[in-house]
Amino acid sequence: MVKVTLENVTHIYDKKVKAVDNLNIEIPHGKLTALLGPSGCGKTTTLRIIAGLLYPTFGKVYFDERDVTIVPPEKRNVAMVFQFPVVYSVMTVYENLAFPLRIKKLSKDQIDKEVKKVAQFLGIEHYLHLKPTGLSADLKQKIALGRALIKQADILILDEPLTNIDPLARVELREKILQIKKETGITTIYVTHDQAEALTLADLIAVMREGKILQFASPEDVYNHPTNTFVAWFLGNPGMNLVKGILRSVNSKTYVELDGVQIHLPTAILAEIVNRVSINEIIFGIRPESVEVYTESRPGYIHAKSSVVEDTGALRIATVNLGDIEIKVKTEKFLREGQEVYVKFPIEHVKIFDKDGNLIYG
Amino acid sequence: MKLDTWKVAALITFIFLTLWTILPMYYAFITAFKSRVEITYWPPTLIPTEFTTHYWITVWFDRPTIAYYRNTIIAGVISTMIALAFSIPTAYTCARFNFRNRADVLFTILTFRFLPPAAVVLPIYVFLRQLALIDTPISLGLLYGAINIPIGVWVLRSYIREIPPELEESYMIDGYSRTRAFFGITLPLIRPGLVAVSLIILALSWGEFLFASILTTSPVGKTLPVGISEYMGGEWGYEWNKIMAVTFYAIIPTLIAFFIIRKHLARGLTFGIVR
Amino acid sequence: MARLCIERISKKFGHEKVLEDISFEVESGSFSTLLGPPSAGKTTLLRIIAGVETPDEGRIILDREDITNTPPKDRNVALVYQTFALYPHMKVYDNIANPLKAKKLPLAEISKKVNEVSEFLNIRHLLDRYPRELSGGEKQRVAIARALVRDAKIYLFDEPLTNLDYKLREAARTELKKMSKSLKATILYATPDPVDALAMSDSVHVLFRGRLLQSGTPRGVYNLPNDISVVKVFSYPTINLIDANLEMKENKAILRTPFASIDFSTYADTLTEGRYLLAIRPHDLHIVFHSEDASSVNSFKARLHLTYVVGSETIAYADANGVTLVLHLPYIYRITEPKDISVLLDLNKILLFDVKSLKRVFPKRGGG
Repeated sequence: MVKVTLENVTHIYDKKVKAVDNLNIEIPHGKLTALLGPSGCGKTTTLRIIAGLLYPTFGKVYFDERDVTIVPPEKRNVAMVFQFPVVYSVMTVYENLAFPLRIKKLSKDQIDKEVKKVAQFLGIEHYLHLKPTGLSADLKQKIALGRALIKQADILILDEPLTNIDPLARVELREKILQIKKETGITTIYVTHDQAEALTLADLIAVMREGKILQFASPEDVYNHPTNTFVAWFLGNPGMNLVKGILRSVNSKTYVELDGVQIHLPTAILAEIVNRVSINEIIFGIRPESVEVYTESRPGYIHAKSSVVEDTGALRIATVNLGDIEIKVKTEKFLREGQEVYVKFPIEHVKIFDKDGNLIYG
Repeated sequence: MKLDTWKVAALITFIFLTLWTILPMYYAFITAFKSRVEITYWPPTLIPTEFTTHYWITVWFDRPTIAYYRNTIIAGVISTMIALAFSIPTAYTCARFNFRNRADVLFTILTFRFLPPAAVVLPIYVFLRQLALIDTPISLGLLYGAINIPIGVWVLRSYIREIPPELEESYMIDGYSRTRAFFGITLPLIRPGLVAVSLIILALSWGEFLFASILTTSPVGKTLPVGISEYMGGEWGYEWNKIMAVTFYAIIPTLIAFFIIRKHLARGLTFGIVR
Repeated sequence: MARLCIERISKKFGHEKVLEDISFEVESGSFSTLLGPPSAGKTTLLRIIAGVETPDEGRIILDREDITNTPPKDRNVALVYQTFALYPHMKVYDNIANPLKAKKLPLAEISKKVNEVSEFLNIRHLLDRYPRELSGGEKQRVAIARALVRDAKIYLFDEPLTNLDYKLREAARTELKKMSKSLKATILYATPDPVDALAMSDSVHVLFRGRLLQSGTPRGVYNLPNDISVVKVFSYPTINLIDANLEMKENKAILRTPFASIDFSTYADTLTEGRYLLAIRPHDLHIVFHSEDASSVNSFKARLHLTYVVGSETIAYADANGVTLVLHLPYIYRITEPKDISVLLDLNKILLFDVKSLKRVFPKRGGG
């Protein structure tokens, strides 16, 4: 149970590419922290620096109070699970799990006890005598997880472990990871580009982009109170609708204009926005599930037309056009493509960002 | 402290091994600059008392060295072309098509490389003499080419396997035949492999002695290795200075070749192992 | 735009039956999905249709022509590989132009078509680059461009979204749908993700371990799966499978499960007494908030012990008399400690399967 602190960590590849840019983060002990971001955002580089597979160009890494910046990985007491299941195909599953313990020179009985315990926990006790070749990817990944757990390391590091697992098996593996979190309380760091995964598994999420951490908060905060447009867009399935707009004042009535569509907001809110914004360009944000949509006209609702409707089983994601603007709407209703619809943006779910993407209201 | 002793011991071993390798080469090189008298000195001198470049020039004229050089080049080039012509299609077929007994075919091809030359040289001599192909660099080239097909197959097959079959398939789906896909996709992408194999075969042919010595009789067909051996046991005893000079002239091309393909060579040999 | 008919295709690799007696049709101009988990045989089937793999048995008929023995170059089929298969030694322009060069079209026409398609896919600025310089999303668009630039009779996609980042995948799905509508082309799309099938396609064919389990409209197959394997593939995040017993007493039919006795009288006229496997999707289980509904015969008590909030939805795990049930709620619901709740079962959404054959027996209406 160790906390990880990164201090001014910067890493530059080939003297040109800044993969990680002055990161400062304190990853708390006993919790699962997710590093979430698109490809190339620096999350894997950060992970490798924490694991010791990479020494940062600048900055320091601390485990609790110990400076581990240039300590080699084998001396850091970390366990790592990779994107591609790393299993030794020449050994049986039992041997794979026992391997880390053999290095520690435990007695045969102790090893046997630990291996059986971990195998049962992960549900692979029936495969112990088999060799890994031919087993499915999710089973192999369970073996890799088992090998990581059996080490009883201070930190568990997972690098997109579910990416190469097929969707049906992924659910079970996610369960196991949550169980691990609950029962061992090991400090876990999880890298992913899948926001749903991060929201399900993490206690804390660090949203990363181009080497920087944009927001570091709980899943609820990152989802409901994003501090900038990238976080707002990246979280969510699909992410927040973001439309550029202008604050206009006509005849002492102030409203937000989005490409020809006028949205009237309560005066008090508008006043607050006007105060915070030096230029009148803003970005209007609302999550697809927060948009109210009906198929009949209602007072206060804006007319729109749905162009694409994606049925995702329980819900529909409809792309609707209001004038020139495209908004995504998420609803249980069964909408059709080309249907006339009527939408409203409830003020309690509206977010306003300045033109650089920083949150100013919401 | 313990680490330091290891490091010192390692360093000493390293220096020793380097000298062990380089010293003979240096000595050989410097011998070519010595006078006829000095080569007989005992103990041998590391630095010639009389520095002479005379023999570096005479070796071209007092023996048909130029002819030998020419023959070696011809044999080398022909061998490379023959080996490539046969090993490329073989490697491609063995890499791409899963036919029965493929493993056996590959194994058989590879074992041919281990054929001891001494066992077959006499039958080959008789065979070539009946075809009146004794004492020409062309027949040597054909022979070397055949001998080196296994190496070509071995190296090229691993290069070809590195190329995802989807690239060739996609090319075919685009509207080309498999043959066109081979020329349009496979060949361009295995270029480093082709270069490596060519240089390896060239180098092997360059230094071949056994077949050359038996199958050639005159400067019409003799190659450099045979030519160099003629300096041994001549009327003048062993003219080491001349021997060393010719030898160095002979190995320059192979040295250059190996420097070029150094990294390709390691890659080709270890390719298939780490999958 | 052409109609594809797959007739009794079978393929073995060694002793393994990779495809067994597969037959289906893809209507001209429609977007059809081949849905199935990894190793179901989807890629092999696409390769057979493209011609880089030959079937052991069966025929492929495209645009009324039997192409089973035609070499790939003469089939006029485009295939977008999962790994993109871009030619690394050629620039993006030449990659896209390749199929047109194969047809020996004049250079001016090639240039026009390549520019058109790159414009459409927003990759015009990348034409001069090499594949290694592109990001994942860009490579995928180049692979699609190379397929679209030709006037193929059918476009085959092999899991094109799998190698993309989550966010790219989301955007790409909408883009692909828009694109397929404007192209009016015949498309066969292979994927393990049921959301792709529901969101994008006109028809779906469910493949499992080399066999075609069901064909139909996405909603049709979703609502009336023929087989347990189909319903497993077509549920998020998983499917609730419960042992149930149907009892007939007087004129009432009671469906008994370990946690509830459901009045099934209105539905049971086509069923016989006995054991069944009951399947209900997580989002067809609802938490009861109003007391009137709680007394309804189709609600039962359960203990909620775990909830995961995923954005604006919640996955909840409840224990109902020893049976673990998964619920998918379209709103945020968080618990800090186990809570007793009432759960309502949507009777219209119950699926019953025969315990031995694992085939659907209720609803009895034809599948898909």
